[in-house]
Amino acid sequence: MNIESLLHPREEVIILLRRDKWVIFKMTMFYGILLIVPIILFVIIQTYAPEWIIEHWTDPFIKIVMALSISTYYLYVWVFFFQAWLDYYLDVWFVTNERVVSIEQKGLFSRSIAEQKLYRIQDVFGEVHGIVATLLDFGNVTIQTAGTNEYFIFKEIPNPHQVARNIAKLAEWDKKNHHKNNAVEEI
Amino acid sequence: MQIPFHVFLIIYIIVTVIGLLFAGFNFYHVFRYAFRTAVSIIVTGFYTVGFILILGISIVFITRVDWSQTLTVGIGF
Repeated sequence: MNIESLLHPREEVIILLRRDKWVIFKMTMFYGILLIVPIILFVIIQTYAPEWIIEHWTDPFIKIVMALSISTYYLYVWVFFFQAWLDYYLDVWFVTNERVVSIEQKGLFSRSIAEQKLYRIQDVFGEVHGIVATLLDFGNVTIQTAGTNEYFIFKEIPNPHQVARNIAKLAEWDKKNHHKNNAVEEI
Repeated sequence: MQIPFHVFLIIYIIVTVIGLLFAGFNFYHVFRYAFRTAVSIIVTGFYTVGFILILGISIVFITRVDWSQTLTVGIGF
């Protein structure tokens, strides 16, 4: 899929956002540790109890069960690693010269796409909570709109205060020029 | 009681097939919903290579095992 397929004619993407890199870093560290744990355990056992390996590894049944278990473990960790990355990558928020679009992937087979015209935005504010978020400057941007979907929340995005200011400016501009643009389109 | 080793292979294959299904769902989501960028292509390629490696190493090991062996369970009288 290309982002252009989501746009109207003469619509341009001005701000494209995903969650901050810290989120992907945390996830990578978590799954990286899960991938390394069996290797570390093996090294520890080999260092401190090598006779245990010699005693048990020669038994063909234990060898098979261990190998199949390790294979299954790595397969599932790898699958869920990619799923976690997809969950991060498929959450996209973008602001165009006409509207705000929120695309959120909520697990497997659950996806929501919401959009609202810029001139219907009533309030925008950014929030940063926590030590890590403050140091790395990421947080949420909440957009209040005059529509069925009252709130859009851009989650864990970088520079939330700057993004909130930019969206507010775009909304202000669109409110002033929206009727002019519509008149031009009708002509 | 004697349990043939290939019972464990069958269990492993069932579990692996379920894992492959989840991997298939992941690929489906990438091809259907992900924006075509260098990042998505590189990460998907990296994931695919890792996936093939894990399966490949597992298959190499599986083919070297004598699955006709049996496991004796219980104490005979």
